Amino acid sequence: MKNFESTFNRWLDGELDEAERREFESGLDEETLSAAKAWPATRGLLKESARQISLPHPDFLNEQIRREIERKPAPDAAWFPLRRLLLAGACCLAAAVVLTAFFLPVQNHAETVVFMAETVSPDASASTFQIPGARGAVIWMEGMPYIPDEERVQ
Amino acid sequence: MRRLLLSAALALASATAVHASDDIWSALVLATSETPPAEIPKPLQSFSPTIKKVFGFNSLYLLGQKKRDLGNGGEPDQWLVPSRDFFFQVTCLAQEPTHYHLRIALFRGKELLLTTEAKLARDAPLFIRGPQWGKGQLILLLEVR
Repeated sequence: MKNFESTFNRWLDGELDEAERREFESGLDEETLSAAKAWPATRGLLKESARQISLPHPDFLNEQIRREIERKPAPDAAWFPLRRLLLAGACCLAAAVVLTAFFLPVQNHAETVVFMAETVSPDASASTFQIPGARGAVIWMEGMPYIPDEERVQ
Repeated sequence: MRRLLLSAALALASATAVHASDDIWSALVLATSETPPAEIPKPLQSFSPTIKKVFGFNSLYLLGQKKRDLGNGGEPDQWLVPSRDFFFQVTCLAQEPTHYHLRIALFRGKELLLTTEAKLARDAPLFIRGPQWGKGQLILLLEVR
């Protein structure tokens, strides 16, 4: 059977010599022979048709295909190492901002504050003020008795 | 990462908040104007720029200093005696996260000179301008450390 197919294909392709062709054709019935003889013409028509097939609106179809490719993200693109580093950096920055917002005001407002200051002597007085640009405070007493140089203070 | 953030937060908080183990430091200082300026004693070096700016003196002499524990097991009154002549009675009225609310009385010998109420923050000194002594000015310092 395989031998028949091989010979049949060679006959269709016109590769049989004269003696082989006659011998092979003598073994074929009339209907097969006429169909087979029409094969070269049929094959020519098919090839010609295939050459002439073209898609309608090729530009539109190409555009659709391109859009579809662009719409689908590349696999694993969101987890490239650089992306992870950027994400980690952004998280650290956010944490720093939150910590600063919560704790820095406490540090800035931690100033010494004087509510009241009173001298006992009626000749003396006391006033208070914050030190500009610093966190300390001053009680400024006036009218205190002068201590002469000779008097020892220790 | 979580531990790191927690550590950073605690470090920041501990840097500013007051603690049960805080001390109150007091000093009696003689401030003068001299040419050339005298060498500033080491305990006063951090106060020197402020004293120069506020009081106008360039030379400082440390006449006495004293440090006491503020978290002293519930004892409200403390005597701070930086010198034999000038000293403080300090009463802790309240301890807040960033301050000690104190009532302070300044004595010279047996004589009460000044009473004051103040909130003292950590490392934020209170300067008290005292009497003039000779050509200099006596300044009293109080600081929570």
